[in-house]
Amino acid sequence: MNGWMMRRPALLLAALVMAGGATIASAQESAPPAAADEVKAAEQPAAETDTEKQKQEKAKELAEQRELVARVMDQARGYLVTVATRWDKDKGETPGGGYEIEGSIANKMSSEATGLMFDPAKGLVLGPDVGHETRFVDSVRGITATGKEFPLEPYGFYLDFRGMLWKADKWPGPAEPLPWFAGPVEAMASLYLARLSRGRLGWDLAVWTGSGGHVIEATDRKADEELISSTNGGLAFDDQGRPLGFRIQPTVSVTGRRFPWRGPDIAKAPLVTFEDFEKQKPQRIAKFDKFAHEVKIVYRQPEEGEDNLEFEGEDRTSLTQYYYGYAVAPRRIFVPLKLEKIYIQRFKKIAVRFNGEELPAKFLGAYLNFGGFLIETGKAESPAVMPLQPVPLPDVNRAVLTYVAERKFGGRRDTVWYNRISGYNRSYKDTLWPETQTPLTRGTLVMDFQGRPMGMSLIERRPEEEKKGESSRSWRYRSRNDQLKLYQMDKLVDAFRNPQAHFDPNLRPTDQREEKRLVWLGVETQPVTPVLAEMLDDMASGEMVQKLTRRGQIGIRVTYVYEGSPADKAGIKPGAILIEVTEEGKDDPIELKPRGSYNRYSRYGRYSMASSTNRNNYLTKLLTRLGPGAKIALTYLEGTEKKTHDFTLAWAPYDYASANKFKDEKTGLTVKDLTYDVLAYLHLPADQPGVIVWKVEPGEKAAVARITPFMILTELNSRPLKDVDDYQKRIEAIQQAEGGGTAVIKILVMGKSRMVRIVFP
Amino acid sequence: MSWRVLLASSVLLVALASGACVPDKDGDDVIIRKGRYEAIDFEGIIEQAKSKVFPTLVYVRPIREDYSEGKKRRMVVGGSGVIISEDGYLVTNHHVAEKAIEIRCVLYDNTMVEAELIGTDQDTDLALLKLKPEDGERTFPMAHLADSSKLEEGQFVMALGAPWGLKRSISLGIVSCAQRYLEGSSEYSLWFQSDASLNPGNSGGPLINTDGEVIGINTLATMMGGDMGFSIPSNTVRYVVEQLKAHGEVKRSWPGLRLQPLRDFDRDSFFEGNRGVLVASVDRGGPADKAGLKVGDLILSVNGQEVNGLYNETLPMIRTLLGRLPLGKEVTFQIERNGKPEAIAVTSSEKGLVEGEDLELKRWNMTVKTINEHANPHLHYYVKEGVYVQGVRYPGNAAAAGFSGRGEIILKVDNKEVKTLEDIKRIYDEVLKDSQRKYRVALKIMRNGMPSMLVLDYARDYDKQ
Repeated sequence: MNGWMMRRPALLLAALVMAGGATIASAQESAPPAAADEVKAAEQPAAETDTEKQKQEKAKELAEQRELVARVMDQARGYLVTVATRWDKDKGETPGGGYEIEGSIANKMSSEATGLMFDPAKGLVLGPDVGHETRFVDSVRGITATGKEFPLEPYGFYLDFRGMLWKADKWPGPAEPLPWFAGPVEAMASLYLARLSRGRLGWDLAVWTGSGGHVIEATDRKADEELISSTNGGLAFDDQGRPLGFRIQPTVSVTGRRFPWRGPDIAKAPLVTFEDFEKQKPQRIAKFDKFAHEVKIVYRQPEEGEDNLEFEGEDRTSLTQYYYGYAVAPRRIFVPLKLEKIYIQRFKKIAVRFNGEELPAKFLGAYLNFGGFLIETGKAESPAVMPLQPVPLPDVNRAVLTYVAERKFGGRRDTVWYNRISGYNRSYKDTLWPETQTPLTRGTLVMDFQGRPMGMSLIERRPEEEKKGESSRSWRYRSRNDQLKLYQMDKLVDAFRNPQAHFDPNLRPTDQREEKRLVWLGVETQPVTPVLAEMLDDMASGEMVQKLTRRGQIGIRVTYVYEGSPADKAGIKPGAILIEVTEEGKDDPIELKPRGSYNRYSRYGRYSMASSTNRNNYLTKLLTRLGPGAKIALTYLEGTEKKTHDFTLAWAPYDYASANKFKDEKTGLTVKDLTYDVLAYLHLPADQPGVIVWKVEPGEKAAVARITPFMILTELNSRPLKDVDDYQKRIEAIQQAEGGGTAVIKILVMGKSRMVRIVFP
Repeated sequence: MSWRVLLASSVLLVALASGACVPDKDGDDVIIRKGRYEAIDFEGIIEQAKSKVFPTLVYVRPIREDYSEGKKRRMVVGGSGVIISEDGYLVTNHHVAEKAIEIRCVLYDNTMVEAELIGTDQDTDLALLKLKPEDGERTFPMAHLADSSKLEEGQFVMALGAPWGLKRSISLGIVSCAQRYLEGSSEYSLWFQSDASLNPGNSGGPLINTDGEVIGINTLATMMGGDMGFSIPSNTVRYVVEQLKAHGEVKRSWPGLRLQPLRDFDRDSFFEGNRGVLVASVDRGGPADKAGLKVGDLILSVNGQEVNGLYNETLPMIRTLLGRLPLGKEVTFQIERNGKPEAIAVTSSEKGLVEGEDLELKRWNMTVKTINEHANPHLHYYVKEGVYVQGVRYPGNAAAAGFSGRGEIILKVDNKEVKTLEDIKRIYDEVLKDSQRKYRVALKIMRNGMPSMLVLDYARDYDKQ
C-alpha cells in the first residue's frame, strides 16, 4: 500500500523544502549543490587526478542536471498532492488492513500517499488504491506541495492497475492538466520521479533519478517490459524533463503484462466509479443470492464432562449456528467452513434456507484438502447454482469482484466489493497461492466483473500433518485464518462435481458414543525417557533402545497388552518399544513421541479407572486420526530386535468413555457397561457380570443408599446383571410394577461387596 | 477419616450421677431422688471422684519411629494413660504407644518413670504398658475399671489427661451417647461419646464416673465440633488388657466375611426379617468362602450363639463374637439362604497382623511397607503378597523418579521379583554394595492396577546435603 513511501531513494539528487514558509529560491540555492557534491564524490573518488578539462565538463554536466531538476520540480509542484486518508471503524468492524490501519484508527492518524491532480477540470486526484471498503473512510484530505489542504471524496477505481481517483470540489492548484508527453522514450534513459514526502519541518518535494534503477528498459509500449523497476513510484519525467506518467504499482507484473502508467494511457484506462459500483450492487446481490444460502446447523449438546464447543462469530456459545454456503448443484450446498472433527461429529440437525423457507438437509461429507463440507437437501432445489466453469484469475493488480454472505448483527449480510491479486506466494509442498491486496474473509467468492467465479477463499488443510498432530492447532485457535488460501476455481470444480473422491472419511456426524470411539492397537503404554532408554539398554546389555529411540527422544513402551487386541494378535508383548508408524503408500514415517498428555498421577486417587491414560496417549490419538481402515506399518523393538508389523486399523471396542449407558432417573443412577478397559484395570474376568456406576444424582435413592461412582452393580434381585440394557429392562419392570417394587442390588467395590435394597413405591 | 483427631494426651471424664443414679458409698449426701433435685454438692462429687483417679494419671511421652514420609524419623508423641494395677500396668491408646522405641511417663507426683510396651491392639486402639521404676519394685496408686455396660446417656463423666501436653488436666461433661458406632474405628466395640472436652494429648487417658472409676479410655475427638469426644468402654479395655497381659497381643479369628445390618439407616437399605445378620461380602479364598457362605446369606447363630444384626450398633458385638471363635476348629453357622435354613461349618483362621511392616530405603529416599489385607485392602485387591511404597521424601531420589507414595506396588526391582520386605531389603543392599553399576535401578510397579516401569536414579545422596 503505502509501504513504498518509507523506502529510501537510491540516490537523492535534489530536495526542496516547500512548506513552512521557506522560499523556493533560497531552497534551490542551498540544497542542490550539496547534493551535487555527493554525486561528484561518489562518481569520481580520485578527483585530484582529473584534468582541468574534465573538471569543466563535469561542472557543465552538473549545471545541466541542476537545471533539469529545477524544471521537473517546477512542473511537479503544482500537481503533486498528498492524499491523507483517515480511517474509522464501521459498527465495530475495521478494514482488514492489519497493523497499519488498526494503528491509524487507534491513533486517529491518516495514512498518506502521493497523489497527482490528474484532471483539474473535474477535480480528480489519482493515487494508489488501498482497496478497502469506502464505508471505513472517515475523511480524506488533499495536501498540495505548498501545504494547502482541501477535502477529497473517493471517486472510483481502475480495473487494470492499482490506482484510484478521489474527487475534490475545490482545487486550489492550476486549472490545466499536466502536458503529458505521449511520444516514445528511449531505452535505458534515465527516469526522474517526483513525489511528496513528509520530512523535516514540512513537505518535501523530492526528485529521484540516476543509476539506482529508474531507467526505461524498453520502449515498446505494446510490449511487456516497458517499465522494469521495483522501486518507488511517483510522477515520472524523462531526461528532457517532460512528464511521462504516474507510477503506482510498486512491483511489475510477474507475467509481464503491462499496466497503464503513461498519462494518456491512464486517461483511457477503464474506471469504475463508486457511484456506479453501488448502483450495480443490488442487481449483483440479487443474482448471487440465488445460489448463496443460509445454512443452519444445530449441534448436539455435550454431556457432563465433555468440552463445550466454542464458535467463532457473533454467538460463541449457542448450539444453533448460521453459516452461508453456495449451491454447487441444485440440491447440494457447499459450506466454506473448516470445522474440527468434534464439531462435525456433533452435527445434530442441518437446515438450509431457500427463498426464505427452511428446509432439512443432510450431511454429505467434509473435504480432505480444504475446509468445507457439502450438504444435500431432500427434494428442494436451489433457485440457481453457482457457475462452475473455471475462469482463470486475472493478472496481478487487475481488479476482481468479491462476494461474501455472512452472519452479521443477527442477520444476513451480503458484501460485494472488489480486490486485486497482488502476487503469488509459494507455500506448503511448493504450491503457488495467489495473494490478494486486502485480506479476504473466509468463504469469499472471487469473480470477474461479469460475476463468473474464479476462486474462493478457504482454509487449507494439510491432512498428512494433521494426522501427525503437528499442524492442527487446538480447536480453540481455529479462528486464526493464517491458513486461508484463495483456491482457484479449477482446483475446486472436481471437488464439487465428484465430491465423494475428495471427502475425508473421518469427518462425519456421529452419536455421542461414536464421538468418543477410538482406534486402537490394544496396548497401554508409558513414554520412553532418556533414563529409561539407558536403563533398558543396560538391563539387556545392548544399545538398541537408545539407538532407535534417539536416546529416549521418541518411542513408547508397552506396559500392558489387551487380550485379543490387534497388538495381542500380532504378538506384541509388554516391554516392546513402539518406534514409528508408516501409513501405507507414504514414505514419511510418523515418530511416536511421548507428549505431555501422559497422566502420571490419577486425579481421582485409587478408584480412578485411569482409562484416560489409554484415551489420551499419543498413540491412540494418532491412530484415531489415521482412522479405521487405514493400513499402517508399525516399527517396534522387541528385546534387541527391530520388527515391523502391518496393521489395518480398526475401532477399539467401546471403552469406559464410550460405553453404552443408561440413566435410571428414579434411582438417580447412571450406569455403563463393563468395558474391556474397566475389566483390565480392575483385574476382573472377561465374563464378570454387572454394570458400573458412572454418575449418582445427589439426594436421589442411589445417593442415599451410598452408591458412588465406580461401584459395580453385579446382581439385581439375586440374578446377575448382564449389561446396561439388561439393567434398564429389569429395573424399569420393578419400578413400573403395580403397587411398587423392590430392588436388591449387589454391589462390588475392589473385591468387597454389599447389598442395597431400594424400594420403589 | 480426617474429621477425627487422635487425642495424644489423656482426658478424664468424670461421670456425675444423674437421673436414677446412685449414691456414693461414702455418700455424705445422696443426691438425687426420683423427679426431684435437692442440694447437690457438685464440687464435692467432682473432688471425690477426681481424688481417686488423679494419682493414677500418667502423662505418656513415647518416642516413636515413623516411616510415613519417605524416611525413618523419630518423633515424640504426647499422650495420657492410667495405671490399673499396683505393680504398674498402665493403659493407653495404641496410637500413642505404637512403634515406640522408648516410653517416658510422668507420674502424678512429677516423677519420671520409663515404661515398657507389653502389647498393643490396633483393632481396639488400646495398648498396655508397664512402668519400670529405676528403684525396682514399687507400689503404684491404681484406678479401678468400672462396669461400662451400666453407663447411660446423661450421666456425668470427667476426662483426665494431658491435652496438648499440659499435664494433669481434667474436664467435665455428660455421656452424650453410650452406644456410639464409628464405622472403621469401632469395629469390635461400641464407644462412648461425651462432651467432656478432649484435645490432642488426651489420648489414652481415662474417662471416669462420679465414683472415681474408669469407665472408658479417651481416644478420639472431632476436629470441628469440640464437644464430641469418644472413649473406649472399660469392659472392652478389661478384655483387651487381659489378652495383652497374657499374649502381648489380642488374637482374633477371622472368618473372612463382612457383615451388614438388616436395617441400615446410613445406606437406606432395609431388609425384611427381625433376626440374624446379612453377609455383605465374602473374601475370596477365606474361611467363610471355603465353607460355602454366600453374599446375601442371613446368619442366625454362630457356634450356638444367636446373633442379632438389626442395626449398625449391633455389628461390633457380632464381630467380637466372630473374633473370639476358637482358631482352627469347626464351628456351626446357622444361616438362612433364600428363606431356607442351613447349617454351615466354618473353620476360622487367625486374623493376624492388621498392618504391614515398615522399611526405610534410605538412599532411595523412600519407605516401603508390606501390603496388609486389613490396612491396605485396595492394594491387597491387586497383589496378595507384596510391598508398596509407603512414602517418598521430597526432595528425594524416589520422588524424582516419579514415585508419589500413593499406592505404588513394587513388583520387581532390577528384574528380581519382590514379595516381602526381606526381598527388597536384600536387593537394595546388593545394589548399594555393587560399586560397578551406575547409580540406577529399574522398578516395575503397579499403579491403579496397571504395570509400569520407573527408573530410580540414586546418584545424589540427599542425606549429605
